[in-house]
Amino acid sequence: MTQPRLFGALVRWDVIRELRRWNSLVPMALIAFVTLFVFAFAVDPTRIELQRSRGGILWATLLLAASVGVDRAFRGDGDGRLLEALLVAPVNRATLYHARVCSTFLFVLAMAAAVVPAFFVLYDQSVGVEGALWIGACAALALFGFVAVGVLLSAMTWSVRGGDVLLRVLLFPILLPAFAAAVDLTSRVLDGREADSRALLLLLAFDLTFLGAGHLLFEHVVKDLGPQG
Amino acid sequence: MTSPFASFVAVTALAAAAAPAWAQDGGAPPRADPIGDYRWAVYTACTVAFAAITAFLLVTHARSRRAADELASLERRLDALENAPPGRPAA
Amino acid sequence: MTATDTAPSTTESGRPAAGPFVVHALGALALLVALNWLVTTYVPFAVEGIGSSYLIMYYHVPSAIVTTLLYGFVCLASILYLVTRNRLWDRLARAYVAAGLLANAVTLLTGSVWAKAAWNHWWDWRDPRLTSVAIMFLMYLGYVALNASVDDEEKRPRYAAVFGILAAINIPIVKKAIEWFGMASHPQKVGTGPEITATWTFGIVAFLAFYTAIAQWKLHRDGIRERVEAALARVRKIEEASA
Repeated sequence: MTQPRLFGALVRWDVIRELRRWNSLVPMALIAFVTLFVFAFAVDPTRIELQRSRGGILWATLLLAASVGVDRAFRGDGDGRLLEALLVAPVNRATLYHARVCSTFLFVLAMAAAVVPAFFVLYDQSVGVEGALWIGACAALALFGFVAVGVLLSAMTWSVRGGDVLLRVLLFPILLPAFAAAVDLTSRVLDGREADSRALLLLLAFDLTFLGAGHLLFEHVVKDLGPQG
Repeated sequence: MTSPFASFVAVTALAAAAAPAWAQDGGAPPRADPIGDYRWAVYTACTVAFAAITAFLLVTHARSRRAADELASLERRLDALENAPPGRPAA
Repeated sequence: MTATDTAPSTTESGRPAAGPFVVHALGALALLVALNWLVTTYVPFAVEGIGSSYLIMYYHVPSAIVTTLLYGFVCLASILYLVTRNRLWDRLARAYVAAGLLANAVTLLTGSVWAKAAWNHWWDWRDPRLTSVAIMFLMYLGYVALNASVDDEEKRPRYAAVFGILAAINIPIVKKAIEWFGMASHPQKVGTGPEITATWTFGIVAFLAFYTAIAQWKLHRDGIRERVEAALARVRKIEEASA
């Protein structure tokens, strides 16, 4: 089987597993909704002023929820067998990384598709078609970057004691530039100000940089497990 | 045992020690000015702090060197123990 | 682990040679004292709009620049570890992360003091350098946390090296993001003049010597500690074998 076909097979397998067990999507969505409510009590949603508050709330929620999905990328059912099972197959380490990123991204995107409309409802926001497109592009790029870095880090932290906390400690500072860009763009759109395309540029640069880094470095993380690909 | 880096640092240090000879007083107010005195206080405090840190580094480094000597002799004894034929106690 | 596996400037018995380190440490001290002297006597006393609190810049800016240089070296050491699998590079990376975190902390503290002296608040989100340095601090604290959490000595250096590379390649992205999307930035230029430029350039050299001395010190200490642990492991094995 060639690597692209293995990639497709791995992603399909992930999606089927997820549809059966709901190991990632449901926890992510639940955390996101709970967080939206927490923020609603932290700041008065009827009187949030301009600037980055509303965009910030949305993205803080998405970040916290996405970190749950990323954490599950290799943790699986928590018994440590998932990664071992994956590595038994004659798959290139880089292919495995890309497949994991792809499937985790699909789950995170699905979560965002549910959470963003909920945010609009709960916080009484609205945007036109153009605004929706900007936010959609922003969400896709930013969440992809989150997942590209997160999957690489998750492969390190899933087996470590306190790994779930360690993942966030490692992941969040690295994601801050992408986070800042996403918040800036989203806030501008929500305020009705002119969207700044530099945000998309930075997100794209971030995504390519860390996808490339993951491609090169993933094999060093999973080196000792399973037969060499 | 010297290295090029150490020599460079030594030469730079000598040049730096000679710095007062070529430093100009860049239009600073007369020394009687209270703010001028404040700068000298900060200069002294910083110098004392840096000197204290350096002294700490040098003293602890000297202790590490002694520990390394003891460690080396311990490692030699471990070598002897590991290589002793089984059943025979090491000398 | 054998004696030859330790830092380059060790002698046959693995004892850290005294000469280079003493010269390094005293040289760094001399440079810093000279820097203090220049700040006190050579540079302009005050600057338009900010007053004499700008003098902190001669400690703040060089520390910030040296922080980035040290983290850049950590990235290089991490790459070299992954390529060569020589543990010396892992030890160098950890020692230079420690020195980098110290430089980082000094940058944050001096920046905070400067913000208080010049603009009367202890933290200034509008200062791009302060914000980007704070993010770097968080990233490399994570590096230390990662090293502390992984018990498997075979995995730990690999994981640390991967993260060291990720954190370093993020630094330019962080700086760009803050420049574009940070809160309104402060004017960065505090005036130029030959005395100002010469002094903070000299400051970079002085602080580089100082922080690398600390890194070398930590490297030797870590080397000793690892040899002690290796020796203890050998003792345990001998005890088990003879039991």
